[in-house]
Formats: sequence, structure tokens, C-alpha cells
Amino acid sequence: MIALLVLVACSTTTSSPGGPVAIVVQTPSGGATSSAVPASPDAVTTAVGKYHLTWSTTPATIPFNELFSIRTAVSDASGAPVTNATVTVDASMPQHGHGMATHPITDPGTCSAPTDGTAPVCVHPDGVYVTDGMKFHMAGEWVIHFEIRGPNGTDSADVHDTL
Amino acid sequence: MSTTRCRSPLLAVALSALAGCSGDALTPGELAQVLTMSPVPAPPPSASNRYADSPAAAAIGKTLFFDPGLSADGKTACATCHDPKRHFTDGERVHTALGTGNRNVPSVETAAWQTWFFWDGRADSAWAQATGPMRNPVEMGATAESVQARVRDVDAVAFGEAFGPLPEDSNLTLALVGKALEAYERTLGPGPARFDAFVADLRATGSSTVLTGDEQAGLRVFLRRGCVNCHSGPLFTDGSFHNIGVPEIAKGGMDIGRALGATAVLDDPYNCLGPYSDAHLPALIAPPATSSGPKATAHPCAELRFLDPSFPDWPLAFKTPSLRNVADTAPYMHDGSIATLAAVLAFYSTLPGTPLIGHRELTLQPLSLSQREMDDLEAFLGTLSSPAR
Repeated sequence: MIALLVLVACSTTTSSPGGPVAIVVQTPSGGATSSAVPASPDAVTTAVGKYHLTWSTTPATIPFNELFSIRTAVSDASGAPVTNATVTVDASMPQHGHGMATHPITDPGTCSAPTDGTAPVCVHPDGVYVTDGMKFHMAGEWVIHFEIRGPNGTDSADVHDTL
Repeated sequence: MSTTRCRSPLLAVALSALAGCSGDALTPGELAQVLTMSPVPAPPPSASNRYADSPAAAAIGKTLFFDPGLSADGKTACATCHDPKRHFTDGERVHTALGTGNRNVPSVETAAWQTWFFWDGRADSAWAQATGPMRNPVEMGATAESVQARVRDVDAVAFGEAFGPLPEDSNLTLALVGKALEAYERTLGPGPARFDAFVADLRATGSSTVLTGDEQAGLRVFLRRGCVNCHSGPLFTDGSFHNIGVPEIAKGGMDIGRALGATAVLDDPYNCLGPYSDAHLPALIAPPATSSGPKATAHPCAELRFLDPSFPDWPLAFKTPSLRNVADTAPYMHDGSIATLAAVLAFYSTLPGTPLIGHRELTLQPLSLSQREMDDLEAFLGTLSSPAR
């Protein structure tokens, strides 16, 4: 998208003559604004209101084409931390029809190993889940998709982020 | 529920370009971007090679790099194709050693800064990469056993100074030879170019006369027409893989690039997670300080660990090459199918044809460059050259 914008706007670029010249930095004549940097962490309620998510990234600003992680704090409608959910985080570019070239992994939490043969029970203290292996390898609009499977059922949230 | 956020400096750069791209001056956003393109920083640590910054390993690595005795015919060294006089390329369309391959020889000058190796990224370190051509029947045609024999017979003392006694396991010896070669390659680097002097001036004073008017015009074209979207940073590459739709030259089947490489690297016993990796060990010699900040993930093999081999855009995608010394490393593209830099620019200007499978990178559109713009771009790319060794 950035390439296209620049392409359209710069089709009349002119060249200066050959030979050494001094380069001058031009001050924008208005209209160009820096991108907004919202306070971090961000908060969102899942689609049908089952969970409330407070999330942040490391690094705090999502880097271009580098791995980053997402820390998601999950609470229920009453505000109580949800410690035993399964959280998956993925991202896609809706205008390009593809997702990330990585496969993110959410930490399993602190898991018990029952001796009776039943499945391990994993707990995330304070309802915090860390998903590693996110990477936005292209500039443009991304949608981060959170899916929460917990005691209140499954619910999800999408967050749009323009890189 | 859905929210929208926008916090990337990249968008600010684009907006700045929109506001001021009709003239001959760099906008503040463009200047900020140019400053990210030089200098080349110190190499990042090599996570899986604890010998990467060992002078003893680099010394035996240099010897091995130029040793034709490692090959099956006794005539083919790494340097046969990676010729220092040609910035470690060979000037041929595709490599020819014991046989003829189907890919253009990439430079090893920038190996220390790369994440993935080979055009398809089927290795995740320079040392793992180095073990490939040695064993490739159409390149050096060696085996782990023959490499071990060569080291034992000729280089045992220097090898011992770097690594200790020669291992019994020839696969381990091959890995150590690869690590020595990486240590040597890390001493290379692309060398300072006129562009670096230009950026140093900009950083210090805000202006520079190091580049000619045509070269500076070419830089602006490079920024404003989107070349920089993939050829970014001080190495002029995003290190990623793209299907740009280079016309396929059929030779023994279609070369689908990253689609195979992404699977191969996960299966490679010499990868960062494999038994020959040093990822769990401290470096023998501390790597040089780098300008990069703390990483988001503490896992030393994170890129490999999180790689998705089934990403749908991998077919026909190949690695974005560095543009350092690009004017001196013809021919171009993964298959060497474009002979000159001017022809490469003409390709991006029109983007002829369509890929046989998948689709061309969606951000890539025909640039419809004027002859003047192509001339200026070529002039700018020439400023990325440094003296060959």
C-alpha cells in the first residue's frame, strides 16, 4: 500500500543535473502527520463480551519484519482473571489474503502432571498469556486475531493495526 | 469487537514522501529512512556457532575456503565460485563446478547479517550453508568422510588450535569446518561505499556533496518508487522471500524456491535446533557489540522455531538479495537470467508475464520508469560499490 501511495504521488519526480550538489532536507508543507502511538497496553472486549483482553507487545512498537511477542491478560465479564483458558493469537492481511509466515506459539503456562493418567492441567497466573513468534513481514493493514477458549466458552476479538 | 490502531513509523515515512516528493529534496521522513541504510552495523551474534568470532576459527576457515583439496576433483574450492575479486561471486549465469546448477552464485560478503541462506533459505546459518556446497554433487562433490580426511591430512594443527582434537564423528567435523568457514566469512563484510560517506555527511551536517545530482536523484527514485520496501536497511534487503515473477527458465523442472527451502531447513540436521548447533552453549569469543536492541524473544533459534513452512506465498519466492556491490555482481536474479542492471530495472518497470504458480508479490506493480529514472537509479546503485579484495 505504501508503495502504491508513493508511486501515485511521485510520478512527476524530476532529476537534478549531474555533478556534485548539496542536498537539502525539505520541511513538509503541511498535511503530513506522524502516526498516532496509542497508549500501551491496549484493551478490547471479545466479540460477544465473554472476555476482556488487555494486551501489549514486546517490543512496545510492533517492528517491521522482526519477531515480536504479545502479552495478553484475560479477564471475565466481572473483571476476574481467567487463568485456565487456551489462548491463540494469529494475524492476517485482509487485503492480501494471507497471514504471517510464522507460526506463533502461546506459552503453556504452569502445568501439573496428574498421576491418574488424566490430561495435564495448565494455569496462567493472573490470567497472563504470552504468545511468541509473531512477525509482520509486510507493510500494510494487519488484523490481529485473538481466540480465547475458557470456562465461559469460546470468544474472539480482532484488532486492526497498520504497519 | 474490532479496533484500529496505527503506530508504525513506516506510515509516517510514506506520508512525508507524499507531502514533499515532487522536488529534489529529501523530506524529513525520507532522510530518516536514508539514515537507517548506513552504516553497516557490526554483525549480530551467530546463535548456533560458538566459534563464530574466534580468530583461530577464522584462520582455518580462510585456509579451507581457498582449499580445492576439499572437493572430489581436487580442483574446486569455495573460492572457485565465490571469487574475492568479484565480491565472492563468479560472474556466471549459474554455477558450474563438478556439474551445472540452476542458481546464480550469491556473494558471501554479507553472510554475517543474514538469517536465511541459499536463494531458498534452506539453511539457517552461514555454517550450515557451508556444509551444503561441499556435499553437493554438482558443486564440490565431497562427503563428510572426505572432508574429515582432508582436514586430518592437511589442516590438523590449525584445526586443533581452533576446535581441539579432530572428532571421531565426520559429521561433527563437517559442522566444525562449516563453523570455521562462517568465522572467516564474518571477517569480510561488503566494505564502505560512497553511499556510506554520503550518509555519514547527512548524519553529521544534514547535507552532502559526495553523491552526484544524478545519484541523489536515483536515491529519491529508489525511495519513492518502493524499491526500498524490500531492499531495506543497511544491507538493502529485508531478508525475506518474495515471488517477483522472474520468467522461469525451465531446466530439470520448475524451481519453486522457498516452498521447498522452508521445509528443508526444518529437516536440516545442521540447523539451529539440531545436534550440531551450539545454541545452548555460550560463545567461545564474545561477539562484537551491535547496535540492535534487545530481542523480543530469548529463544536463540526463534526464526526457525516459529517458521511456518506452509505459508501459501512461498512457492516461487526467493530471497531478497543485498544490493551492496550490486553493480559489480552481474548477472542477476536467482537464476542469473537477467544480464545487466539496466535490464533488471527494465524488468521492474514493466513486470512482463505472470508466475506459473502462485502470484506475483501484490505490493509489486510495474514502475513505468522513464529512461531518466532508470539511468538515475542505476547511477545510485553504483554508489553501493566498495573495492573488491
